[in-house]
Amino acid sequence: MKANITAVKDFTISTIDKRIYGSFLEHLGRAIYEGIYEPDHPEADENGFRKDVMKLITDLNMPTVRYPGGNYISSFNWEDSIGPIEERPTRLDLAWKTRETNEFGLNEFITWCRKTNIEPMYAINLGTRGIDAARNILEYCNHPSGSYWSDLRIKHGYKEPHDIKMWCLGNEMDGEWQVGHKTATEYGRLVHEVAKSMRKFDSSLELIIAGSSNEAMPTYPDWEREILEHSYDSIDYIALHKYWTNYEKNTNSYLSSSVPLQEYISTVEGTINYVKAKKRSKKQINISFDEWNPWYHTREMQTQNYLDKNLSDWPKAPPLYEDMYNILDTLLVGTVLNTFINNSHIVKIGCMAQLVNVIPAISTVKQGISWPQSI
Amino acid sequence: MYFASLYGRGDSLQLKVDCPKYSSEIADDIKYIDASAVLNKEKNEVSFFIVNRSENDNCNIDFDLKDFNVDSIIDQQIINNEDMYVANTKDNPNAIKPKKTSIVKLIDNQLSTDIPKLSYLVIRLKLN
Repeated sequence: MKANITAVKDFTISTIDKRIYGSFLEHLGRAIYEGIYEPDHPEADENGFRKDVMKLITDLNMPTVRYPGGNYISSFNWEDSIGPIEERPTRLDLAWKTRETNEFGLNEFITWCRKTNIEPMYAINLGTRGIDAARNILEYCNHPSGSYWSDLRIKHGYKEPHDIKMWCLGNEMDGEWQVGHKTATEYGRLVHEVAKSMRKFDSSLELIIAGSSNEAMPTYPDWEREILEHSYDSIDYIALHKYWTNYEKNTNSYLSSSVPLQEYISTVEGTINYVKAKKRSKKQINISFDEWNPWYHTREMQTQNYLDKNLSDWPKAPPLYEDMYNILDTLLVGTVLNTFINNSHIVKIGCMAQLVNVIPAISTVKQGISWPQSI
Repeated sequence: MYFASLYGRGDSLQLKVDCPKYSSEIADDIKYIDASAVLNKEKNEVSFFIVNRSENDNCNIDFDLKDFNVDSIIDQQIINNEDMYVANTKDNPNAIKPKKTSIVKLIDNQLSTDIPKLSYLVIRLKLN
């Protein structure tokens, strides 16, 4: 087979936003506990962070990580994850049917980001919560001092503000599976009001709204149009998600997945520009592709045997979705990254889902080794 | 993620890729060769990221880099595996890893390569 590739030095598409090479950590399975955090591991540092895992992550020159979810956030109360560890409540996570001790929380994540030179992207709950919780966490994280929430952060041992700039407002709100799932009207109205309130605190924040969970959703792409029509003036990015499967072991089909991906991105770009024109706006909303990856090696079995069952024990950090990836998955990921590079004028953020143990870039053994997956 | 994150910082380049195509259950006009390229003006380097989707055929690629004035190949690495379904596990954590390769040639200012089937290749070039 023969091919020709032609390039001209001045014919550029766009400066690439390095954040397209980001990733994602959710309180799901062993992503956090035994993943990045394992205090009694031989390689744990003074914060309990696994140094071997941090090394593998810094080897990737990882620019940003979205946290703490994902479906997890839609019934999560951020206040549970701050303060003296012995006072943090253990909660039941409705998304992944696990028991969350909150031993690793907001401040621990920020400390971990500083050590790994990663810019945090924090996702807030718009499933069970709204404006009040959003403005309080913003004050806790970003206000220097002299107010209730900022003084509480200082009391917790963090004198300097966290200065989190990127905020994801809700997760996959179009999905029936989401706690607090909403219609486009309900979510569009809420996210606009949340964004407005957050901007009253700091107009330079980068706010990301939840677009379609995938392009097979019955509400796609009307979801995008409507939520943008409600919130265009107050937000900066619309998030898209996509997971790919190869259950049939059909290599030709699987490896052609980046062609429909291009269509997905182009359609949402068109929708953004349609609403931009309708609003007579000069602002360009861009795309944050903040969950993407192959996900099929363990998905069906674990969903049937775990999530769909009425379990009573609610385990802490069970081994869930610990996919091990093959060369076909690596090639698919290569074509996805090519697509992001070739669409760098509109795709500004990308988060491979996920980073450790759960459909991961890096795998670990409890008390043992860590290693990179081929993706 | 390794290739793109480390070597894909800079400006994305428009590429014209001419190659055979195929159809699948989910798309038509799928090029066997999928590619992107990133120019790093500060370092005066360009990186190419190339995937050969073909299950059966290697691909001989000729590059037309009209005004790049390529000095040399800094690095070339490839990821592929004889076994399509092997993975990196705790018992075999290095089954699939990037490897240095020498399949990319720069002769008389002409860049070319013969990329094996089912491979992911990064080519890093120093510019004058």
